[in-house]
Amino acid sequence: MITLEGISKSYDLGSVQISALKGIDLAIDRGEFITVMGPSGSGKSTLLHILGILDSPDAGTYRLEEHDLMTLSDKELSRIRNQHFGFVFQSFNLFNEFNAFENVMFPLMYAGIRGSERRERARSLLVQVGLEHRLYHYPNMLSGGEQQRVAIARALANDPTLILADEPTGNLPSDKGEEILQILDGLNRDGVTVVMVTHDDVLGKRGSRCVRLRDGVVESDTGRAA
Amino acid sequence: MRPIDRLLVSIRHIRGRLVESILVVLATAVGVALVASMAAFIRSYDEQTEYLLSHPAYRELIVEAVGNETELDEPAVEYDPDTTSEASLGYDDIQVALENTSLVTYGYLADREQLSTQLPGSGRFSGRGMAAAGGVALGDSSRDPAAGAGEAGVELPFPPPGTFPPPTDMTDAAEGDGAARGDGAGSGGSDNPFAAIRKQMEDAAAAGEEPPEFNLDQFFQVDDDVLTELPLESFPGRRVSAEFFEAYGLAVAEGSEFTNEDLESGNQVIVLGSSLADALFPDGDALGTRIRLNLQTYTVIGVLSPTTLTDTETDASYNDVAYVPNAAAQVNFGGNVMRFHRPAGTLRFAVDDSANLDLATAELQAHFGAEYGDGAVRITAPLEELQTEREKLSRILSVVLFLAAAGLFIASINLFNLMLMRVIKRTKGIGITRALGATRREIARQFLNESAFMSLTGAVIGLAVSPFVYRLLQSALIAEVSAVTLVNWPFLLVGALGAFLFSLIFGVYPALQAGRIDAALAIRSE
Repeated sequence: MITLEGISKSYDLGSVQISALKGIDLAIDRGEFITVMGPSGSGKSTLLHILGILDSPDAGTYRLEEHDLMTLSDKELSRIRNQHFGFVFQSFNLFNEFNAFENVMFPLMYAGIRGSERRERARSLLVQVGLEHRLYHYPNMLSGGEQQRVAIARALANDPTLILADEPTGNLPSDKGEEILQILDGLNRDGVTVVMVTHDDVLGKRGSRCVRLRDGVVESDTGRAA
Repeated sequence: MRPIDRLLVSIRHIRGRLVESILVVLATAVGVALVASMAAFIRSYDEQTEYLLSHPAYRELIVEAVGNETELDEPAVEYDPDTTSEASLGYDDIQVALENTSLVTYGYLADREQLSTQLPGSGRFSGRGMAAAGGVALGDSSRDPAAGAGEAGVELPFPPPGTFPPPTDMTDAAEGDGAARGDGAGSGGSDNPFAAIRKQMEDAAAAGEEPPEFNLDQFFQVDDDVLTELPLESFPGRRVSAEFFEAYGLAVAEGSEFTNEDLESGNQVIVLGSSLADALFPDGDALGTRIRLNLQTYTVIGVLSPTTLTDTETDASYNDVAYVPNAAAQVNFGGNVMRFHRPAGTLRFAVDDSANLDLATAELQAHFGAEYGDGAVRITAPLEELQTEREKLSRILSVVLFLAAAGLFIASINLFNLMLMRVIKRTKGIGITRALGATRREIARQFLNESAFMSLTGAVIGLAVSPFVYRLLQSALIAEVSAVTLVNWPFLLVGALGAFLFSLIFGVYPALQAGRIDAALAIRSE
């Protein structure tokens, strides 16, 4: 599904040049549940952003299915993010000016889905994550676990093939975190590919494959080893 | 994203920062209102200037005898022949001047005078009241010694020595054309009460006694067939000579204009403007009616066709004005008509093309200089005064327009700052929307939509209040040049649209900045 070859990325922090990724090769197959682990600063989040085409690498190639993403326009890349990717963040990142229902509608609006279809879809997504009683609540009226479930509903809006989760349980108590993980497990069972960044060893074993990064290079990859 | 969705999202974001948004919208509204009303105002002003430049009054040259002016604080009755010029200008001077000049096309008399229908004894009438309520208007005629004499005649029914023309001027109106027209205002008895009273006064003075009482009423007796009840108390009049009608392009619809023969024989005839005729004679029976105005009896001989001209000094429509012959005034004293050929005081000349005004002035100056001596007459061109005034006003308008534009500019800068601040505050949100599938273009559009929504709201409010601002500007700027009366809606709209587009531009840069934001950095930011 995804092939990364020789991906490197560095950030220019004033005078200091920081290399976040130094030549990453990674192939991801459809239906995998990959956990990305590593200490702070090892490049986990950068890798996730590059996978989600929020960030572009300085060097290397990124192939999604048959597309070379390096050659696509902003419009095409945005469409891929909208249609094929779903993002879940550690700090939920809901829009505070909009209620749960409206937050879920955003990706549907960008997809051009309108009217009753959009409303039906947003409602069923929130029902799917168990928030049918919280449709019109604003993020600040929801608990952390509920917010993250809204975020997952939003990530699933356009039936993505890849979920990119950056420490999705990092801001949650363990029982609420477990609920989120079960939702992700369920999605993975339904065939959605999941890439989850975590620094928790226990969580790192939840996936079908664990990729460890250190100093911007792949230290170990259980998928490759297996 | 569909425009309606984008708009709804915009409104939610604006609602999230309501106070700042309202302030920016109001500031924009003020800027738009100022700019729109100034644009409309300047347009009206230009149109008015164009109208005025085409007005016959601005092809005129006014010739006045120097030294004939009466100081404002001096009673008009005090006419001292010693201080007046040698040049006692009269109707006859016009013909001579026209013969001696080549560029001057017309020459005429056209003094303004309020005509009052109020009769003495009605309670409104008094010596002072006469002057104020309609006897002799301010302006040209108050400088006119004869007009002063006329007032004297009212306050005191016989003239102070040296003021009135000699008694030989007293004629019986039964002779001449007046009788033929049925203008027999004076076809009364042969006794001259004026002379009788004068004799009484002289006798009393000679005997050292108090002057005898006399009855004013005998001076104001009016024939039965004269219409004394008119629906208007007073209306503007112009004492003109016949060429005035030609120079101003005024034509009769009914009856005829008066001629210079009427003028010379002192016929008391009157020509009415179309609206005035309708107001005075709703039944349309104006022609031939005899009416009493300013103590004199006039026969209506003509009604003018409607004209678009307005008086450049009083703004009265020429349709509301009555025209009476100049150069001779008559007072009917108890059946005896006293006529005095008064000096006209103000002669008016006109050229065909206002470009010739300077040369025509020189011609007239040369002519009157040869006739009465250098400096005996003063020639003024109303056009020159208009241009001076317009230049001054144009400068004021430029300054106000600049201030209005500055107001809009400041409001737009506020909008710009608010939008830029929002872009910064929503950096993380921008990153998230990118993750959800928004293109850079979509994000820029979203921000542009928000600023445009505020600009538009401000423009609509500004447009709504601009007629009031317009009126305010009007009252502040154009006290004297008041013909700019109608709100110029097309230009108000054009001005508001221009101001809106100007304000819109200030949303572009913040929107582009929003589109440029790096998604990955934005998501990491707090």
